[in-house]
Amino acid sequence: MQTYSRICAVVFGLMMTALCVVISVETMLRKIFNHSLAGVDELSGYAIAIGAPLCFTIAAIEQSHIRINLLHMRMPPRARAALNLLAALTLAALALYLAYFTTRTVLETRLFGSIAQTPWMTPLIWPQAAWMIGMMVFTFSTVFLAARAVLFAIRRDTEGLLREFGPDSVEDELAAELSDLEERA
Amino acid sequence: MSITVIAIGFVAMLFLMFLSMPVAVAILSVGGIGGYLAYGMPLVQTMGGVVWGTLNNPVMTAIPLFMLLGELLLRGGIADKMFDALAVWLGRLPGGLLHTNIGTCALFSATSGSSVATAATVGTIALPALGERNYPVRPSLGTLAAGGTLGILIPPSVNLLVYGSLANVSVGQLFIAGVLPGLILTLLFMAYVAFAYPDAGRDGPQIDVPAAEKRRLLRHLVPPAVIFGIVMGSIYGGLATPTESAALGVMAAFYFVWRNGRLKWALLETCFIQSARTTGMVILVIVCALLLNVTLSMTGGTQAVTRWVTELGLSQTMLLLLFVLFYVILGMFMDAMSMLVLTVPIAVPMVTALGVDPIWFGVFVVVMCEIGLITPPVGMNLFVVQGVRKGGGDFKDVIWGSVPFVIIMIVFAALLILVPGIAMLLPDLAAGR
Repeated sequence: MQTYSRICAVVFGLMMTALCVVISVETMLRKIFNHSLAGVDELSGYAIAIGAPLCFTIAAIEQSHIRINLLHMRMPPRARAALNLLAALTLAALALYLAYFTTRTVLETRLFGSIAQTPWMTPLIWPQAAWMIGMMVFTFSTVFLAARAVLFAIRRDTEGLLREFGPDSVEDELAAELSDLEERA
Repeated sequence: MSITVIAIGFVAMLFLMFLSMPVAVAILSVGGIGGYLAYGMPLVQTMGGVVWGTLNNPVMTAIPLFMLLGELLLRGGIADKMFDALAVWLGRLPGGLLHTNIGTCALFSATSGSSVATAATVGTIALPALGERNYPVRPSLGTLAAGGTLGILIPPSVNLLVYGSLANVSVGQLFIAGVLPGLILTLLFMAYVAFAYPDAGRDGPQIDVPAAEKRRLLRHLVPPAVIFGIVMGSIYGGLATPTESAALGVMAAFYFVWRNGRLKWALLETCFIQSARTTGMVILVIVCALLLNVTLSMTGGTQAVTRWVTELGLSQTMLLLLFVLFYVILGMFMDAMSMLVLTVPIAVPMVTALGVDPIWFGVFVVVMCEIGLITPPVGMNLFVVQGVRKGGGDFKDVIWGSVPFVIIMIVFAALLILVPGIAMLLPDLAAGR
């Protein structure tokens, strides 16, 4: 899963870097040479629509989706494991819910042949199809994670549920930052 | 929809959040189920379009770009040297290196965007230096924890960006509005240190730095200053949108990292993973909060809240003071991002009904989030500063060290209510008002 998350991150990062180059060139051309490359705004909208589901996926794999662990951390291990299982299942349900509406929207776009109200007049089916693929990646990942959590539960592996599905704590994040700091030094 | 139904929905969300369900799930459950109960499938089916509309939005692109900018500055080692530079320039003031803690944290967190990274980096450098020079423990820790909160107000701020998306107000104006309050709060912290600890560090070993060396160290402040100048200058001058300014900032950061000799694939990969991770976490809650907004506005929830608050007959000041109390309590138990998504959709219609400017309210809410970062039991910065202490020590030292700064921030919030111009002066000037 870590490799998978890394691939998503690299795709997203390169996409954002390329976008920065395009936006910077456009802004300079517009301000200095009074010449605008129309459509960069539209492009950046598509980039985030397609990239965001990849980011949701990475956050899901790294257990970084925000959870409030005030009570969680004070509970006995079995209760914490049960809540981790429930959190994994509900996140998968959320992804399925979003995937359902994404698919509906894309099917409607195809049915009506919708076109963006912009100078490019992009047929929306193209960016939306890419968006849908991103959402499917997110859904597949969360369903996979939820299945893994259920498997741990069937095996009564409390330790596994605590280790792999616990909320990202400040302590973990700090430890990662400190080790990165050492490497930088 | 009645105010009782909204209150039930709010409590249900809080319940799910405290049950440690993902915050996005808590919000969407209430929004989705509420929408279904009120209007059935037709309302729920409009949500796909809302998700596309929310994501396919250039303003949303600013989030990963600012995250990437912060990551590059942090991991490219650009921000690490700030402490040394500020130490020689601020160390002579009454309060000595405690000012350096505040100044470095303010600068660092404004550029890095992560409180944890700020406290880890600045704390690791500062705490041993302060220990060697016999600085009192509590203010040393308190200045680090409180200084780290300043970055979520000083632009570029992801919290202001999130507020802008949720409240549907201009992120550029929010950024401009955050500058003066961020600066004043920093100066208030420093004034407190100067008055409360005028002799701090005086009995420790004094290090004289030659003037030439002092000037040489100033170069470490150039990259953050240039990047802040590019980002804020282009927004303030109306030259660029926040997304464009973020892209220009990222390009400048790439240049500085390259000049530092650190532009390696491994570094880029780490920056990509970290920025994608936080982007995913932030954007998913925004998408869910905006879906909840649809339910709220379609079912008349927004009007119900507005009507209720008008009927209460509260004055603007009274309502805002109640919000101070509410946010201080909520902040004790919740992180900044959860607080924003939970409260902004309901609070903004309330305050605007009484004539409060939503741009001003954005600054106010972020100051409230800052307080939440250093109030126990869930003040994230407190834990981070405690975690950075090499020899360990009592956690109460961090808490007591931060108390004066919590009081300063509450007083500042009251000041912001009495003199709204603190936040609105620059946006008004920029708009030629």
